[in-house]
Amino acid sequence: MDDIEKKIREEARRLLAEKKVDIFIGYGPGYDETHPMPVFIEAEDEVEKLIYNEYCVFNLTRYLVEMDEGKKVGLVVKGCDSRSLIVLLQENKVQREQLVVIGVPCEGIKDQDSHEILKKCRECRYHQPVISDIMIGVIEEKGPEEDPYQEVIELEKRSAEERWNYWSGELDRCIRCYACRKICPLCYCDPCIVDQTQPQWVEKSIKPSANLIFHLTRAFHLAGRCIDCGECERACPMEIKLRNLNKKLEKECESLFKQVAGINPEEKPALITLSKTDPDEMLR
Amino acid sequence: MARIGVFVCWCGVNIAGTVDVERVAEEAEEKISNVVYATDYKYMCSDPGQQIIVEAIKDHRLTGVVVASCSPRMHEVTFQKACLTGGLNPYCMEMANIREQDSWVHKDREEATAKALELIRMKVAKVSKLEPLFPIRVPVTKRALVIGGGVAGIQAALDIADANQEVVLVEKEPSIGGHMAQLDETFPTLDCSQCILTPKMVQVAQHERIKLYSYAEVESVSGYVGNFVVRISKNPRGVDTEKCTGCGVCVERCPVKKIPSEFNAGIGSRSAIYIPFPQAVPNWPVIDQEYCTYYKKKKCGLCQKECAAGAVIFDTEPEFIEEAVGTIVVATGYDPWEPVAYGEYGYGIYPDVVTSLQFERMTSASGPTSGVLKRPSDGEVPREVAFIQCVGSRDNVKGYPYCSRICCMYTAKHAIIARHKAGAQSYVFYIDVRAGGKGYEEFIRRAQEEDGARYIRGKVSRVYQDGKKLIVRGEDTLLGRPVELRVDMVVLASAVKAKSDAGKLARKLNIAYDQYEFYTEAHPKLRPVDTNCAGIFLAGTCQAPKDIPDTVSQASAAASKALAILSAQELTREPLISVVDPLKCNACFSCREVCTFNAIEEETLRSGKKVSKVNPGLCLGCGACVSACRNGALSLKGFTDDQIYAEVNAI
Repeated sequence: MDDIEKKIREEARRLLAEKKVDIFIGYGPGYDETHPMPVFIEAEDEVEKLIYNEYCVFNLTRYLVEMDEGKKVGLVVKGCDSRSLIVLLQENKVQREQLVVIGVPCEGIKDQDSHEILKKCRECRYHQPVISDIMIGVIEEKGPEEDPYQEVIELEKRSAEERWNYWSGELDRCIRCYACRKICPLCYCDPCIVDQTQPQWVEKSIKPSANLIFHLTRAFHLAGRCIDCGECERACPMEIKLRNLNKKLEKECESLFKQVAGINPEEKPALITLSKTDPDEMLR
Repeated sequence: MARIGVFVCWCGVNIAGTVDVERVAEEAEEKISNVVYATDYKYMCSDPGQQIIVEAIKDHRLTGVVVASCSPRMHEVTFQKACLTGGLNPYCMEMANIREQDSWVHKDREEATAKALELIRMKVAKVSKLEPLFPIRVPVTKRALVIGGGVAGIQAALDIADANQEVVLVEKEPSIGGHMAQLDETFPTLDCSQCILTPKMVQVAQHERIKLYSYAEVESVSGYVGNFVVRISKNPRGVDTEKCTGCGVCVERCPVKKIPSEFNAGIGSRSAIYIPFPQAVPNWPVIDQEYCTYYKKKKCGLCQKECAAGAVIFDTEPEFIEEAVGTIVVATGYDPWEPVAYGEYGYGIYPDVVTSLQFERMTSASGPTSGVLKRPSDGEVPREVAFIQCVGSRDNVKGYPYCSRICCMYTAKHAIIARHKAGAQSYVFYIDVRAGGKGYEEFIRRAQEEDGARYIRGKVSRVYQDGKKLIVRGEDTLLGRPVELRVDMVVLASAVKAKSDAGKLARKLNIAYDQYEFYTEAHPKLRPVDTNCAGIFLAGTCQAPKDIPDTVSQASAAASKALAILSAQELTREPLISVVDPLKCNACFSCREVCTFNAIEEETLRSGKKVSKVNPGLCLGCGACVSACRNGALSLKGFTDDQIYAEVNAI
């Protein structure tokens, strides 16, 4: 870990010195070592702020859509983060030329409280970043420790009524703080459909029907795009199992279109591809 | 404030039989907000019916109209025109379909009446939100593209050019003429096919308004009706057509001579540098790079040495040309089907089992035997010939379920020619004789009665060799007993199939095709030469199997459709297209990815923000981009979110 941290600092210093980047986004110290925070480094003498440890959970690609056009950005990505970066590239939110990507092989991020490896990391299939300019070390891809779709499969087995009760129980807790939307690297629409008024698609008040519409709309808008960084679930103050919602659609997309989002920047995302072999007869 | 008029149609008893139309009109005026006038009439689409709408628009200063009648597919245009006459923008009119969606599918009068009112209520809500729209005007490039230089393409090109419009004709093969140039005589008149076709081919070559690209293919097509841009690739011919005089010395001297001739359907041979047939247009030779020694080993070059004009250049790269055209006629024709699936008929095993196109070349004066019918195995003149019909047609197992339409007639012709040229006795195995056409039935009778063709109703089970004879075993289903014939030759009427690359071209043109890859007409009865893509028309066998008279008729029909476009000063297009709200657009360009018409462009706003933009000339208003846009930046004019929302909320 110290080794990775040292190398990140070296690379950041070099990139800033050589003017290869205007800003470097990495992890910096939080109030203790289990709570690292994103840091934005713009000068060489600030690179000592950069740290890296097994609690660096933030998906830093979230900040790319807010960067000014043409600004050259260096950033640190783990396996999962690199995949949202690919989706952002596919969707023209960031240009490849403006980026210097530091890839970090990831053996899993630890929970800040239990100090166990996070569930999403135990289910991860991409420990090695799928896109990078500079790789800091390599890791052998061993595949997921746990079946990534296990919980979704369990839910699918339940009856419609049981599922309704489960999701009502989850989504009724939503306080519409929109933290999930704010932290999601792929929820970048401005204005978001939720904030639109003519017509008003989603009611603003906190009530089960409106909560349901909000979360279903968000899930549909992430279908075929979500890369399961799990940040929405981590950010949720009400501990709503948002990953299960997105994972269900991820599973459908993978089984129907044989496509996993954010793997190949050249690939056209399944949901905007018109193909003669589409599983839906109507589209052929 | 919207002032809406509701016009309830009885459609005779079609609607009034189930719906209480008078009550619907009364309640619409009373109960639905924004409705200032409502009435009913027996036939709203009739002249007096339309007049009611025209008068009401004026008398009640209507801002919107709802016609409660049939489907917009029937009379939307009628009522739009009535609105225009009354001084109302035609796009401020909606039809509530109380016939197909109500009176025709319900029995209970009370419920159907209530539903009619609900349907009207929805449309009134939508019409209250409609905005006036104006047709999009686009200029027209006064030039037509014809793809394919068979008889269909030739006819279409000549018709358009004779009407004083320019034509670009693209033919894939080295010469125009298509399959008709391969035929010997034509049914039912027994005209010599080449004698009637070659004058037309020469007319094409000589026509000042036809630009012919032979040995060339359509690479890509962009644009839209009135303004297509076509990229054409001219294949490397090996010969400089500017210098070539067509003397043919190169062809004579070429040492590689044993290549199966495509023009002779594989039964004759040609050299590596060749002119497909003596009357070819254009008459320049072409080098087959697959066989030419120079292309393969950089040796030989005999043709180059012998060419006095210095025209042999051995080029290898295709040349690309862009042509702007206003309309396109697709006349790419068909491929004869190789009857290899019928192992029991011995095609490809016994040399004397041939396809009908090969038979055609064997009797043609320009064929390898100079018109003397000789069987391929030993060159003897056949005394008895068996013809097998429907080889690959009307056979869902081995071939195609459809009827190839021309086989019954050309087989009768072959039977007649076999008698005339070789004095041969013909036997024709058939399922049905389909001779629906002017003079066709008489022609079949002529084959049977004057030229002694014996028609045997039934299928052949097996063909095998016995010495110099072929044994044809089958069943006569009329007599209900087996038949066994000893003949000298067997001719298979193999199916007409779509061009092997028909689908590929269709995707370039954005036109629809069926499961056999024949191109689909816009309506099987009423729009038989239109495609689903505006400005692109069909002619000949690329649409379905058909004979020469039908092909030529369709070609002239396509030409007249193309001329309608070319004769307009400018075209108007429906304004029901997509539009981007730049304030909402997040420039992910998912819309561009899903648009099959390449109508989405990138635009930079003054603020520097990049957003997508719809090209109104290209957009056909399919709405794919609208559904792909996550935050609703795109909307379809006449179907905006606001309008649909109002409609849904009115229920």
